[in-house]
Amino acid sequence: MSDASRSLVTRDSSVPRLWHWFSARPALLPVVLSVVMAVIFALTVPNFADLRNIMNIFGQLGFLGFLCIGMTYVMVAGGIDLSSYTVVSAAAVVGATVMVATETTLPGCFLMLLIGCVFGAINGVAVAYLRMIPFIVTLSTMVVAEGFAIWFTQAQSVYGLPDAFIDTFSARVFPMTLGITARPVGTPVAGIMVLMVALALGFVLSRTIYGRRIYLTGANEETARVSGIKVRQVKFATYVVAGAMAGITAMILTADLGTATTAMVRDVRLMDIIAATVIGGASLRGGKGSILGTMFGLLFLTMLSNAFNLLGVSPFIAMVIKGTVLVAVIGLDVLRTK
Amino acid sequence: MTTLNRRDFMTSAVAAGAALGAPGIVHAQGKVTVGMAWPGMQDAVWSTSHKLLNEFAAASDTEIELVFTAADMDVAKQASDANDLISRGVDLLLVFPIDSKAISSSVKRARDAGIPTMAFLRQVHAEAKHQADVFVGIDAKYQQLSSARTVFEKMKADGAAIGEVLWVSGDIRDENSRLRGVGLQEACDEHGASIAQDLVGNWDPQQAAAALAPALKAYPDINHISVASDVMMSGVRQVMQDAGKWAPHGDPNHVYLSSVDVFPIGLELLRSKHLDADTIFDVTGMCRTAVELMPRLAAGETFDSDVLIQGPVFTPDNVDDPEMQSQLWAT
Amino acid sequence: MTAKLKMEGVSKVFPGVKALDNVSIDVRAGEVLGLVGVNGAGKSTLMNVLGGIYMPEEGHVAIDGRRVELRRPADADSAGIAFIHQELLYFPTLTVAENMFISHLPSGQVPFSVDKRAARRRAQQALDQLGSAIRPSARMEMLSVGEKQVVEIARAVAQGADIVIFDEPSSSLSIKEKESLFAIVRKLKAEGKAIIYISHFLDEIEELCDNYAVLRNGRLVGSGSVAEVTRDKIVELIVGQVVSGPAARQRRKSGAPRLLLKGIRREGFLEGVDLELNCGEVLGLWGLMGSGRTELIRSILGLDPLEEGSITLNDSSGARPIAQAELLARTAYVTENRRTDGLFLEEAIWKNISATNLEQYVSGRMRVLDKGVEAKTATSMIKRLTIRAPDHTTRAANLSGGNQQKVVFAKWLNRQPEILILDEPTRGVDVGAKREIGELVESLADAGTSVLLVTSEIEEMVALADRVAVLRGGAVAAEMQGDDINETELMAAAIGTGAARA
Repeated sequence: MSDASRSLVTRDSSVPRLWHWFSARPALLPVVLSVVMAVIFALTVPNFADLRNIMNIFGQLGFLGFLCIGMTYVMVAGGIDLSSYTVVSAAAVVGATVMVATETTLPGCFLMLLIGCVFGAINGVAVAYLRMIPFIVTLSTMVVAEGFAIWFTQAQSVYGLPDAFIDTFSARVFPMTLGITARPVGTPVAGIMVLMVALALGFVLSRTIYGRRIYLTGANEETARVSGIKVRQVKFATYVVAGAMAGITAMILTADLGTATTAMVRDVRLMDIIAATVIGGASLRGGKGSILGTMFGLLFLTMLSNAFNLLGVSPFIAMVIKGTVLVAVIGLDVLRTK
Repeated sequence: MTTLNRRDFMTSAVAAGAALGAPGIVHAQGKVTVGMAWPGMQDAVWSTSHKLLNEFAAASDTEIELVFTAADMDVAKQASDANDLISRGVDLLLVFPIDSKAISSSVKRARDAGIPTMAFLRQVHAEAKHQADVFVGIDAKYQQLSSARTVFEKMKADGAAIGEVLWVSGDIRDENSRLRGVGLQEACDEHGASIAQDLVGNWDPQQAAAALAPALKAYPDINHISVASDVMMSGVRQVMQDAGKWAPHGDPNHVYLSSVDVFPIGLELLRSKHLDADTIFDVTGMCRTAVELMPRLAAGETFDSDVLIQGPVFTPDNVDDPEMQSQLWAT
Repeated sequence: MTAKLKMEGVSKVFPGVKALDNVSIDVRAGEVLGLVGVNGAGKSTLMNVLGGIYMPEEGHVAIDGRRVELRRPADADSAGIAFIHQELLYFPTLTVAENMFISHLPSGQVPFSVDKRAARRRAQQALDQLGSAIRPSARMEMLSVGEKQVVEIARAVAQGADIVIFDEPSSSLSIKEKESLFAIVRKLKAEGKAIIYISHFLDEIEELCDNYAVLRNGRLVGSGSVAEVTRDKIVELIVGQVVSGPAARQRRKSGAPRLLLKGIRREGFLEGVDLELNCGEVLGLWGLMGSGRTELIRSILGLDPLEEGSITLNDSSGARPIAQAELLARTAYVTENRRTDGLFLEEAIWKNISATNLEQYVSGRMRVLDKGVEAKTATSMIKRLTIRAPDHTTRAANLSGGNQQKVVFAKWLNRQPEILILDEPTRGVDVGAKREIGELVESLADAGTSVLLVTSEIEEMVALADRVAVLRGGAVAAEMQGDDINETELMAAAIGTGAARA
């Protein structure tokens, strides 16, 4: 074709190259943020870089990590799941009750996973097949799960779990020593588990056809549908994944606390889950985000809270910083898509 | 009137524990670093105790550094906070448990790291495997017992008939509420009274009112109502006004009221002589005691019994005494 | 008589690009200036200068002979310049009157209150002035696209604008709505407004405008009186080279039948459509907006409900009924609105192109996608369709309309479809890309693809279709072949005269 029409294509390609490169890699922000934070804290906060504390942070990733992974799946597909944190309690109390009654581990664990998936499936059916608004649906499920847990237990914590269960999930393995640390420190199983699940589900999301369908559905549901992607199945599946993650969280937390309660994770933590996911590059409009980014987003938040606890600085300042970073990240996302 | 002297009791309780304790290693440094795993700051008890602990710590002979964490009522977050404090290497873990069972695992972790634990206000659940090294709390049973007993004695002095009592409890799932009920039962036993009906107020004035209204109709002659906390008194007042039974002491329509906590509304009603006895929720005493015990616990001393604080009973007669006024914290 | 609006020597530089280079235009009161040029020629930039969005580096704007400084949109407002945008902006749940006065609501007696009655009265006046029957109290979302546009024009009128700029106003209107738009433009002209009319449609320029101005690469390459210029000349100015006029073309002979639709019905939209699509032909689907064209397509592909009717596909294994989902999976469907359901705007070109055919890139038990092959396919598509983009990683949103549309085509061609359904394939696309797309469609049909073409552009229909089925009231009202396919017959058929007899 003519030279005339060739010249009219990229009239606004004047963005600096570095910015362009950075924009194309949204997972980089939380990675950089985490690394910078880690270095600053290691230099300024006593005991922060101590192996015991590093393992402590690693283990803490297992508390919210699964829920963040689930949230990433749902948000990439363009949805949101507000219910996962109460589903944790619902799954935990039932599974724990069975464990206490049978003095076995496996059926209870299976039940926790199952209940998580059932709640996820309920969300999925309502959002994907009945076309209800995710925010409202999962808000309702959140209340249902919480009510169910309280009703089921009469608000009493479930106690007396089999040692095998507690020892398995809250165990510390592969003792290590670092530098001058006197005693070897074990690696928390919760951290190892979340790392493995993050690697597996991160792989599925970023490399496989299933993951691509999730991204495309979130990027533009209508286009995805016309392109032959079964968007309802895709959306349904993401909610089930989120539910399964709540089930795994139930196992980890129940073992760690030695009890299942009706309010293991509170609503304030929901903010952390969404914050980690958004800092990790996900967008509430869907189509964006990655497990890698989310995990570093969570690492950032965990380190922040840990460092403040070590310093004995008011935890409420940490809240201010978290909120500020979140707004800044969302602002950056807006700039990036402009 | 047998108002127990709070100080005497406290000292004796602590002494009892100390007598049984093994002699500890004296702490190398003078300074004691205490990690506080707190539920949050939003509740008056949480924030007041945080403030008072800092004040008493500052005034203490031993240098005490308090490292504060807040879990926003999140059980899992409290476990993380405790882990952080253990990582930091505090000398003592002071926990205000959000969940009395879940906290047990934090106690265990602290113990594994060689750090003693003090539970504050809420005891680690009795069935839990790992108990805190010492518990500093309020004697909830004594609160209701002392307040109801004071009223019964007053009734006796007034020549009023002692018979049935209406019990407006807190949250049935709450250990404090249960213990206060036990205290009321003991006071009733002492004076040959009985609890006519157990009404669940859930620490909420509206719910207390909703539960009390039909009971007042069912027991028109009731002359003693015992309320688990005076935070519910506004609801109780509403219902009694509607029933024409709201009258100060001295009025023939007066219904004797005993309660617990001494929140501002309790003070107001004591002064207007509607409320006859109110046992304070003694946060001040609890904080003072906790700080006193910190260096000893950090030094390795062990305690075999709980340290339960018994606050004084406020009555219309003593409410404005300067000594009583100095105990107030929730105003 | 001096010009109402004069732009003189306007230059605007963006980093690396000279978007406008010494452009001068003028419009007199009661005159319509047609502004044409391919996408990216500088029309939008020029209009943004008028709108107070960009400050030019050089040159100035004068109204009634006086220089004006347009630093922000409010300045344009107070200078009496109003824009009728291609994509309308409005509050769907507010009334027509509220939308018209949203920034200048008449206040009521009580402070901060709104005098709704005054707003309605003034809205009514403005609408009457345009000869429109829209009620000021109607809710905006209940109106058709054309009616919404009338409201926007009425807003300009009500605010006393005497320079009105239409930015591709007809691209989403039905034929009838276009007619009433033209009537309104003429009315405004008669009232002495100065009008700039931007359009890709040269017939509209011929019909409406007194003068024309052609922009190319940010420069004014030609201007003058419409009466004294030929269409070929304007096309030449736009494209920058001589193009030959539409040659009498050979219509293809229909091949073997491929897709058979019988009695397709959907309550309120389709009243029993029978249609036969053959191999190696372009079947045009012609009709007014609301005649059921898009609805028919969406229903047979399972994107909208289908209440009754049968779909039969004829392929190598013989004729058999086919489910909608399977038809969707085997069909290429270039939708009416690429932004809504044609593209993943925020995604790179290569992801857009591979989306229709992901299975093709999968390997192994883990079903991993091979991004290298995806990129390779995209790169070859970019070459084949001459998509102008730096490379395959460019976001679709950063492309011009024509190139976006080519990406949509690429994504479907990637599937090597037997059936290609095109719904308004060249809407909002510049002249150059339009021709390329036309050539592409021709070559596909030559190669045996069955093409179903929906378009509102009569010229496009005449140029491309081998057969035309006319839809009216949800059913096929007529069919045309060969030389019957001409502008007069098509227009007549759509509104229900003439060719309906056929």
